Amino acid sequence: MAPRTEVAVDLVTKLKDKGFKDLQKNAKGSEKAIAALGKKLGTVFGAAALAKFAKDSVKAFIDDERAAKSLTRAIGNLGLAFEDARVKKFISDLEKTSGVTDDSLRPAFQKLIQTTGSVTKSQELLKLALDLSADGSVDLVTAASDLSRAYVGSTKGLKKYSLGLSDAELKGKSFAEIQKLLSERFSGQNAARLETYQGKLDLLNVSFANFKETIGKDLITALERVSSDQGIGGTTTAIDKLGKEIGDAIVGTGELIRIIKELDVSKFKNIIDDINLLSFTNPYGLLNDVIRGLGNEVKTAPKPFSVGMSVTGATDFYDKIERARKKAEEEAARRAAKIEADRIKREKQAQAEKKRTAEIERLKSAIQFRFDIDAINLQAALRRNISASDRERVLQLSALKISDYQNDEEAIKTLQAATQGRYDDAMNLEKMYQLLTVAGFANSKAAIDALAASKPQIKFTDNLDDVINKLKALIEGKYSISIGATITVPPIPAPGNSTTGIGPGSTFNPGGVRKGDESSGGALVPPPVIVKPPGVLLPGEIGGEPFGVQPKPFVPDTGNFRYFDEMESSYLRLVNDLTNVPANFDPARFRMSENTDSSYLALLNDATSVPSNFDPARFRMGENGVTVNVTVQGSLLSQQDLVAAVTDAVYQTQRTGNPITLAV
Amino acid sequence: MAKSVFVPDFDKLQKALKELDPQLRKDFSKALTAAARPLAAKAKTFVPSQIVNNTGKYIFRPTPPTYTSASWINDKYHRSRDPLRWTWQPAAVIKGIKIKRTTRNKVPFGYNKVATAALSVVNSAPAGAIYELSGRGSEASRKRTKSVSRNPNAQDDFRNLMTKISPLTGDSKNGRILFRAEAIMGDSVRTEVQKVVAERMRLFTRSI
Repeated sequence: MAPRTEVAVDLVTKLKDKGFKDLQKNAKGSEKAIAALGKKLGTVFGAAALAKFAKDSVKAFIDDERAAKSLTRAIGNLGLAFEDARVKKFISDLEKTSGVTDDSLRPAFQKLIQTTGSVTKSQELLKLALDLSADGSVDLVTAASDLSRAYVGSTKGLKKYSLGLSDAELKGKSFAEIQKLLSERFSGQNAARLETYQGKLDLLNVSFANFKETIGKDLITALERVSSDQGIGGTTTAIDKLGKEIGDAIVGTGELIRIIKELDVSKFKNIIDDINLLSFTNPYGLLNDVIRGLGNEVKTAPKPFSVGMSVTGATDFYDKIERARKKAEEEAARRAAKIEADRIKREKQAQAEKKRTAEIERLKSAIQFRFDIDAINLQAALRRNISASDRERVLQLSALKISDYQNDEEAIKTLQAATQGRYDDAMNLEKMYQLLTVAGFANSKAAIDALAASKPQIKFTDNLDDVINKLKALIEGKYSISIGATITVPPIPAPGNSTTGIGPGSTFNPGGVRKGDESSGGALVPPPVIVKPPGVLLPGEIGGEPFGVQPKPFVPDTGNFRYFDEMESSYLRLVNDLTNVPANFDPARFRMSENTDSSYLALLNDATSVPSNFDPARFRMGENGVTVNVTVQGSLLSQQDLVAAVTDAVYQTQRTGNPITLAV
Repeated sequence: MAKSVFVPDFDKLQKALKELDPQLRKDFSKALTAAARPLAAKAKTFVPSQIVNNTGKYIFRPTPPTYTSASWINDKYHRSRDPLRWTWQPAAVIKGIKIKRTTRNKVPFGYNKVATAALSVVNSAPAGAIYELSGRGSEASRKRTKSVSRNPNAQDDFRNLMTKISPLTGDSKNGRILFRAEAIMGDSVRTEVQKVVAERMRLFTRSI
């Protein structure tokens, strides 16, 4: 139907069914023509038309035979020669039911069997190819080629069938899955096509093509008999010559028929009576029957065996074929399994390669970000005392820069955070850790993770001081200590005196409350039981380090003496253990007691005398850190400037990859 | 696309009218043409005398190009199929706007039928059609359009310029001459056509 080629505004539209009627007329005409073809051959067609038809028929037969032999050879080469008869029957049956001529079915089947190596699988796929090609957008051979390529893993050709899958999705599917998908989408298409007039015409065409092939075959047989032992030889390649000969033969036959028609039948009546064929009143009909009978006899005459017969009989023969068929099917199944295994292997390799590439890219980005001068400058700018609007701009620029080094998902999170003015933990968990480290609040990643999980209300636009204050408040609130019991201790009596009070004994002897090393027989007073509310940790217990304030040494208050748990991790015990110095121990405020007459408690208050056995080298903050000396040049105007300078220095050091322990 | 008056048995109606009285059929045809005439007349008013850009330079030349250098004269590839195709001659464009009673173009209708226009107003001049439709179409359809210009950007430039100086108008921004007129008075013309058809149908129904 010609597309509309003019610019027009239609005002009145009418319906036209002429095309439909034409089609109906053509279809009926074709049916009639084929039904009456035999009759028309002798009466309607002229000699030239007959000659042309004969030539076409012979050519059709020769082409058909060539295609059939090609398929037979292909099957034989695959070691499936015993399947030839079965394949021929399948093609012949399918041709009649599908309305597709064997000229298309054979090459399509050949492609499939060469790929699959299995007759059963090829038959299955050929039917699917018929459905794929039913709408006429692709021909059968193309559809079969696409399927055979998909069978070995190349799914490129399947795109044209609009399966709604991307290239990657198609590649990721096994052939069985693809076949199932195609079957679901296209099943029954060919059957539906046969219901249309086009389909019916196709069926008629198949019949007509077969008719021509049969005529062509019989004509060649006739010519072979005419030329006896010489055969038609080279004339098979010279169709024109053959056509002329056939034409002449037909014209001669027509002439013969004409002469017979003109003969006076009554003169031959006796002969006809003799052969007891009185029912045939028409001599042409008689002749026709005689000729047909002769032809049939020639065609059905038994032919000599070209191969020797087996003496073991037909049973053995069929058993052998069945065994061979089973073996071939097993071989084809093995091949299909290998193809599928290869596909899965390739898929895994591709995924691993993709993962490797992504990891390399991520690592490269991480390193590049550390040395990106713009990113460093932006981070430094954030430490300066700048206005709120400038800070917001710098933060957004920083987010842009960070997103350059992230993958798409991460970049979206970062940019969303920047757009919404939100301090996103995905972007800034690491930064938070750095801030807290710099601020001296924590040096444990686990603690920071716990903080992050608590989702602090920190905004993207908060400046450094805001962030620090918020985190500080959070930490202090989280780790505040509340003891649920009050312990009252009476004033310490003078040496030699005693007092009474609550506690384990009625007599309080401060000389007895000393470390064992300085005691000469004085027993330690058992500690009173301290009832702690659930969830509260005392200093020295696991996770109970006092985050809220800088750690301070224990300052004894002789006026209000307190008892502490004598645990492994308590301060009192650690003080005397020189090999295990707590990280928050301040040697300036705390001194070791010499084994002198002076009491331990008294020495603690003596800030001027340093014990001779005190080794400051063993009392350090941290054990494996790197000391970073920060020299600030110029003048510092504010606390923020100092913090910024220190932070920059810490960041620079962290980029070298060394761990940092902060010594304030 | 605007809806047209759909008369499935239009041919039967004409035949029946003719059988009743041949003059009736002639009157029917004349009435239909008369009903469509205002639309064609309106469309003709939208044909510009010249098509120039803001600086007064021709986008559509009034005369076919002339070539002086041998390389241009002998270049047969970079040629329009018709020299007048890219020439803006208002008289020719106006002449190309006409009422058509028959058309060979068919639109599929249902499973086995086709619908054809029995009455339409067409903008048949090539230049008129180009001016009418420039800027329409999808990216895919533009890719299918063959360009013979030496300027690889000619298509895009022309389309962008045309859209700028004379935007598409009409109900769905689909034209500049015919579709513009159709957007203005299409409904009234169709009502008139419908009236003409209904009147004859009534006459035909009464007669049987």
